[in-house]
Amino acid sequence: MDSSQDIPQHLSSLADILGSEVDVATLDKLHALSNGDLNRAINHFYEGTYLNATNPNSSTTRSPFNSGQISSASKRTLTLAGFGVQHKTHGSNSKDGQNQLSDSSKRRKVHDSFFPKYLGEITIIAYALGGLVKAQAGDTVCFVRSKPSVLPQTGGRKKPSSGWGGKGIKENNVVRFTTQKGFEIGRLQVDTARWVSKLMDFGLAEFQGSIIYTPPILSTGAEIVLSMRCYLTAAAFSTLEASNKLLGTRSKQSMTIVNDSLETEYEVELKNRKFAVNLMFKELDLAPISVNNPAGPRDRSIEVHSATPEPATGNPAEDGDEKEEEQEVSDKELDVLYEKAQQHGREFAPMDPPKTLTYTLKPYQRQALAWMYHKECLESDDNEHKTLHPLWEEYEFKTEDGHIKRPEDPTKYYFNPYSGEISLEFPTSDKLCRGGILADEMGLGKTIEILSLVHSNKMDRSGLYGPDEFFSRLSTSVGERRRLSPTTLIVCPMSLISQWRDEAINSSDGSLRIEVYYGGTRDWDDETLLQRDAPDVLITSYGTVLSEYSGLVGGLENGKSVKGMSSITDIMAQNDWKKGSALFNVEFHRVVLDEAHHIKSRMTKTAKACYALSSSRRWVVTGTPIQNKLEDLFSLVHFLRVEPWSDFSFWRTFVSIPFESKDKDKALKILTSVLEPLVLRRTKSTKDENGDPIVMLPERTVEIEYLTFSEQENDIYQALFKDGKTKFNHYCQAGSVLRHYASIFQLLMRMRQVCDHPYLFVGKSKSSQPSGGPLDVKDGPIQLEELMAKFSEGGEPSFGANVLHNLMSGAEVLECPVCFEDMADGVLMPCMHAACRTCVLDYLQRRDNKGEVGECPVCRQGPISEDDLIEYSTSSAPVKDEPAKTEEGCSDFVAGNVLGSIGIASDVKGKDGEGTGTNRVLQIRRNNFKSSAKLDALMRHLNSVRKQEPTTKSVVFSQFTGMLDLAEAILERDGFQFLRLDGTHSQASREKTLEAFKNPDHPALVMLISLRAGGVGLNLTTASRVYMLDPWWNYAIESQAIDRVHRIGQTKPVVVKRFIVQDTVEEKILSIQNRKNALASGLGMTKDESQNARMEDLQVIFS
Amino acid sequence: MAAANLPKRIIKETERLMADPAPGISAQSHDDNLRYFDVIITGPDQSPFEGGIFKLELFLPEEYPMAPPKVRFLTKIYHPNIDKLGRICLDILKDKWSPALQIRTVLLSIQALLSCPNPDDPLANDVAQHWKENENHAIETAREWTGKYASSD
Repeated sequence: MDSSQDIPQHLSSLADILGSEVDVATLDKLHALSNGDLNRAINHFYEGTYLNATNPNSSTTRSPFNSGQISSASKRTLTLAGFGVQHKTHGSNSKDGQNQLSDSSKRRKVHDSFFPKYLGEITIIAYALGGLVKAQAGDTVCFVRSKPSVLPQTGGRKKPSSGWGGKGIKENNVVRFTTQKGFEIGRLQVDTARWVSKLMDFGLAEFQGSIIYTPPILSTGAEIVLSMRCYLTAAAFSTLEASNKLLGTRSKQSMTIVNDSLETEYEVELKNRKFAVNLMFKELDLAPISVNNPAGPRDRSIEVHSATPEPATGNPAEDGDEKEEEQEVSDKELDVLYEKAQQHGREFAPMDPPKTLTYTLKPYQRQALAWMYHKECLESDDNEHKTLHPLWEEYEFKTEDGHIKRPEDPTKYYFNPYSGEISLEFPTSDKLCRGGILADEMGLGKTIEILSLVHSNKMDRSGLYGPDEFFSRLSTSVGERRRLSPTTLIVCPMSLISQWRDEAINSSDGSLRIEVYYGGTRDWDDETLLQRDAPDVLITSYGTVLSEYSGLVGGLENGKSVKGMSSITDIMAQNDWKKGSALFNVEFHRVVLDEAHHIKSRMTKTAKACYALSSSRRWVVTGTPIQNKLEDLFSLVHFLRVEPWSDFSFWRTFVSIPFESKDKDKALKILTSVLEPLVLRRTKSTKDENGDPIVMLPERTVEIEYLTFSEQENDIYQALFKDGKTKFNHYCQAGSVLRHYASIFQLLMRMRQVCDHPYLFVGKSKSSQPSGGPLDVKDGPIQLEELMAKFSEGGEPSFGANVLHNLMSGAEVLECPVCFEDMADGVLMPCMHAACRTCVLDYLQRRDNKGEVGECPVCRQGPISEDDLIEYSTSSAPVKDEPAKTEEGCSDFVAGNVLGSIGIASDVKGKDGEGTGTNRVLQIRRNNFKSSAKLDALMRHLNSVRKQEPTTKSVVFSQFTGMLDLAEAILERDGFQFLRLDGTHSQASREKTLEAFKNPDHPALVMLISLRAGGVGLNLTTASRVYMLDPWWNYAIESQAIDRVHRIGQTKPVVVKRFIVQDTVEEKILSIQNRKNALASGLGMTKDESQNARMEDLQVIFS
Repeated sequence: MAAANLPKRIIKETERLMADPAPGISAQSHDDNLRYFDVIITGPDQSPFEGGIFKLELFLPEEYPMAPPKVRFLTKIYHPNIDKLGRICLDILKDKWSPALQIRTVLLSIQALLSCPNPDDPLANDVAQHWKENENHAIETAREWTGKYASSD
């Protein structure tokens, strides 16, 4: 502060405190009025009492502290430390209007002398430090934070607490109290000092005290009884908007982010502040006069406990790790939770969507529409009468003795124990959630329900500008208007974008404008979304939301050092909002998160990005609002901004902690009450009012097919199993199982892979492979040239050439010399004798069993092994789009250009009779492919289904993409056409693939899907057969995959086969699935809670 | 008879044997057991078995063609590789079997065996001994037997 240069010496301290705005005359007057007492002078100044005072001595009354009470309001003694901190605030508060003080701030509406506001008084015990100071009952004392050697007055502006002591040094909580002259008397007890120091440091409160009792001699440690009055400063009463910015958003964010290992200084500060304020309220024994807490009255003991700040690393209770620790919700508990949610919709008459929706809704869907419409519209009426925000409590100011209350002064104040905020303004719960969780089970048509809502509740666009009026609106104050967009933003996984778009387009009569905001199509200006012709529906992916969000946040973080996490509000305020980041620059008419369990983890950036989307109508759509943990639900609630549950500390207090502490019933009860108004959930088995199921789906049969390993497979598996068991036992004995989770899981993984196919485990390492051939499926097709060359050298060129000619011309269908069948599936031996693949393999196997080397059954030329076989198959069409294979050519292979497959016209029936009269393609490839028990079983089913129902489509799931590779090979071998979907596919190719599969004319009968890529969202109702090649730890995942086929739209009975190899880890997985505790969350292998269960699981597996 | 689960191969072989019999060989399956064949092989010319008509039985086991057929002479024959019970010592009926062989090829092989007895790999030891020590006498005995047991009446 630049102090005026003309200030006389005796006024300089006062001038320092009051600021340069105060002129010398005023200072002088204050000085005179207060007899040179600095504190009094300041009081006079702020209370304005000096203005009317004429007699310097008349305003100061007699001994002010008889009976330990302050008798006059004008006599308030402020702590000097408090002064230092509060200096600025006071400066701006002094705008009573009647004096000459300039003021820079016009924010406060309350009479400024209102602050510091008396809150209450307590009696405390302090102890003396000894010394020569004289003190007696009735004396006023000052509370001081700084060290006695430093005179607080000269400190003037004390540094904020964060500077105190520096890092690594034990926190300094010492509060001393001094005589008015500044001589130290003693210290407060630690219990008291703990919070008093914090409040003083933060400048939230000021304290004044008087001595009630003191022993005659102040020996060291002597107890002194003090009366301490607490006053809240103006800073404590942050306005709601400021607190939103400072604390509301940030504290929420800070709770959301505590996981980021170490809390930032700022977050610690917030926590300390909350803790201190709470303690003060408790110590002062303040009781709210009104609360609006849906969970019932607050239990202080819980709150204080959870509010206790822990030094340095932060409160473990709020540490992000608890997410892992939190117990899983059992199915039964889930049932209870959902039960209520199922009731919804019935209380509303089914609602008909407008005619712009071309689909006819089923009754339950019309009920859903009614419910959602109701949720969106009705609550706006409720806003009329304000209700207290559920996180806040209402308090009444106590009247300070002798203090004259101005009629315009507020009488009530509001306290938020969860954040430590205090406010004079009525905190309304006007941010009522308009939206909810649409949790209908998969396949009930959530998409169409949402679309019907889009049709039914549109925003009135008349207030919007057309594109040509763009400039005119620029002239209006953009800052003040809400940037309302008429658009419904739909956020979904990338794989579902096209499904949403198609459904949206198909269900509309054309009156709806639907756009996709993804990838290259993101050339949107946010202004476009605000105009009258903005799209009705904008579909985007989580990834897009995330990348726009990170772009913004990231840009900011680079720009300046961010303290803690930046809220989007901060960024909005500080950043010039980039053009093109349209998503975060408007307030959408409605935001819908599809498959919302994508944000189940509140710590993820995706979740944070979604929280930051702005809209007053917020919906989440998911078939599984709780996947494993209650915390999953919190994230949804937080997105929905359902007060008070969207506050994490509140959630923890009433839901998480009780749930973890076995007080589950209470937690569930509360949760039910949270969920009830929020969630609509129907399942396929939900009954309508007539008791009929709301959906009639065709039957679904899930059968487990137990398979047996071939001898070779079994050898490999047993070897692996023994190895694993040895290691596991070793770890058990050493007690180090938990430390070796990773390697144990790797063992398990290998065992599971071998159950699918030994190649998955053996991989490409040639040496370790018993049969000696590499897994080299892709290199299968070989060139005829090569063959020809080989046989030209090989002595019998004419025979070899003849065979090939025969094969290609198709003039003569070769008969297998072993089974006498036509060779649809033949192999050539190196001697160019041909036979069925199965016949040859069978023969070779038998010879192998007898310890004999393989040889050609026809000419006994050998030795030959499976890998030497050259495969050819006469499938009816190309399997893949590799041009080489579809090339039609007859005998020009001699010219040397033709690869290993040639299309030939043939009217010969193939083995399975499907190839009649079509262009047959002859494929020649090395038979280095080995099947497995699983693949054999799969092919057996596929072949028999193809024979019996040639149009039936099948879906094959595996969690190993390697297994899908192998399945591809074997499908090719048997002449199946197929499609494939896994994580590596781009959005465009996924779309294409799904589209192709849906097309009944597309020849592909089989879809290979990786369990992870195909678990969610997809609609595969064109298929009616499902094959699960391998079991997943958690059956829910498999079930979800099956539901891709067995969902609305399915017309045929669905048959599901789950392949399980007997006496292997797979069988054990089945039993673990049944127990459901399990290693459920994939490879989650960290936390104690489930470790015991996991140990048991492992012991089962390795038993 | 359950012809339904008879492999296509056996049906085809049977048909072909009927349609296109090998010279000097006939094989006919039983109506009640299509895996069981009555076989007649005529003794090859210029062999001690010339003029003889030899009856054999042939049975195709379940594993056929992965396992060789079981063949046995029913007609008594004096041959170093065929024992008193009519069992035949022929490598392709044992370890040299290949699924590419057929009934026809087996019977042709047996016919060839009659032309070329192999006393070095005997089944009937006494006959083989006889053959080695006095081949002419042994051949004479074989002729006698052929006339005695294998003549067509």
